Amino acid sequence: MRSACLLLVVAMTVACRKSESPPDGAVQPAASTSAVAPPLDPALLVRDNCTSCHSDDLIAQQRLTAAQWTKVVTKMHGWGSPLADQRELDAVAAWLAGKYGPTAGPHAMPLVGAAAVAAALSPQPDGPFSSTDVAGGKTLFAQLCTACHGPEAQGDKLGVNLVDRPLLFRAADVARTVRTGRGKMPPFPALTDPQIGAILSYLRTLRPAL
Amino acid sequence: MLRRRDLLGLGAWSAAAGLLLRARADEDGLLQAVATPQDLETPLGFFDRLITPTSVFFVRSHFGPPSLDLGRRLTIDGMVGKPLELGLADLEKLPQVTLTAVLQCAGNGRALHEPRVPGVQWRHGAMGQATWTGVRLKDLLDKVGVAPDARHVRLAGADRAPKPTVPKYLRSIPLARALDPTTLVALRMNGEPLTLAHGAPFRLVVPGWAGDHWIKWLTHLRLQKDEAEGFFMNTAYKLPKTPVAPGAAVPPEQMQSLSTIPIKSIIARPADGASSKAGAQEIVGVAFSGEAAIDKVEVRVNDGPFVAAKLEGPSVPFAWRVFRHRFEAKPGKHTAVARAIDVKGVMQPETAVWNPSGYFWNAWHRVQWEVVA
Repeated sequence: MRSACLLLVVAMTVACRKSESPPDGAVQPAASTSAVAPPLDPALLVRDNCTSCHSDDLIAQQRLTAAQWTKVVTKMHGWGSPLADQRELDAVAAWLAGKYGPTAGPHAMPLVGAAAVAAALSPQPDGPFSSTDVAGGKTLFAQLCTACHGPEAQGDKLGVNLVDRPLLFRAADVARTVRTGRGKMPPFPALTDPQIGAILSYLRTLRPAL
Repeated sequence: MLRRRDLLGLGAWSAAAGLLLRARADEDGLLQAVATPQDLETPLGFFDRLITPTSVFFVRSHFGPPSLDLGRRLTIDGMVGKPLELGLADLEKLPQVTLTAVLQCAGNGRALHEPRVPGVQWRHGAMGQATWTGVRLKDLLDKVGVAPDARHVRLAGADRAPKPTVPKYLRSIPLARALDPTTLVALRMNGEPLTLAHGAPFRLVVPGWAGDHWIKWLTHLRLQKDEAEGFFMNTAYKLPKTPVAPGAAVPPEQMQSLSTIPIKSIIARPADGASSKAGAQEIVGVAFSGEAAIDKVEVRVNDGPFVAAKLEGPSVPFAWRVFRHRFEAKPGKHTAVARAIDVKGVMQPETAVWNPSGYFWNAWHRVQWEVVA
């Protein structure tokens, strides 16, 4: 168990480093102009700082002026969007104003089948993730997850709340996210089915405060 | 002892799936405003009937639902003689009341306000009518003994914000509205146990008031002197005390909390931009007005006069009525507009009153369609 955890920590470290390198399509820093900060990629900033709490369709349907976008981005930053500094806020607000301004075209809502809508929240059988190892899950969570999701899994600067959520009963979905990463969340490809199951069994014991 | 959490893990799968998957494959779906957390509109075509099917009933929440937990408890405390905690089984044993009421999101129609304002860009579909069954909140408050100086009931559900830095979703209603015999802690919607998306195991029902008061996944009612604290009571869900020019900035002291939904009618068919065959035409839709009953709906076709439409459903408070207007049409472009009038004589306004958060759009609904040979 201890060696497995060590491997995971190594994997996580590698993953974190990997996530720091610019993604495909990002604007590369200009060479040897050290006084000039590297250009930002606003689309990536939106993905990494907005869509862990809400999907990007909520953004794409807005038709707001630059002043309104600045106000929205500032409000979201105050609510916990982990944009690093004012430069990032300004870049995101300007990009959103250019893309989703008052004169942008109509936004169409997709028609989603009623069964698919219900299935998106429904519990799935645990299958290979079935576990009763609450203590083991607690240990793994403390080692791998609390840095971002908080000691009680209630969410923190980077990670979202994981207490009392429908996704805790959708182990296959959780496993996919954990192993491939999401936004700023690094992938944990080495986590086994029973380990993910143990983490879920621990998270299911947590209750939010009244 | 079987813990409530174990219920899901130990084989209540079929029951849980039944609550979540009560959707019929032969029905249309919902318009997805936001995938996560789910914000879904009922398509206009369903506003041709008295009851909106649960499977296509609009869905709105700020943070998405908590997990499905039929063991959830409801605590009533604060300024009471004796605090109370109840579960689903306790509530089921109390006298049950069923009423029919419109549920409408305060922001329904936000996308139709000009200039545009931020928020979920609802068009027409963040509304529906259902039967709601549950326990009168007054019956529960009688049990706990409300202190004479309590004035408000603070409402909290089990849903949590994604991060601790996001304000909790908290609302309150004045004690008088809580004691109204139509205010329910509902267990059932359209005759069936509430689905998770609609608040299982229990939610508040406040007929005539906007959906922000109909707290889902209800866990905590607290009697207190003041309104609930926080962003969603002190900043959100407020309207200017007096109408303002579109786009105007309104200082906080000029704003007041919204409550009752204003009079409105919506045309389900013909759909705007649709085509129909020459001959018999039908304009059909629904009309409702907060706490007042609908008396009349008038429809105007092209440049003709407003004529009274035929109404279905009883003229009672909180409920919508279906209106129908039939006429013959020759090929060509046609327009129709509908307006509702309630029993107090209040008429739906031709244009909606713009406000900084885009609430309560209720202008006359106009549709244009092509009649072909």
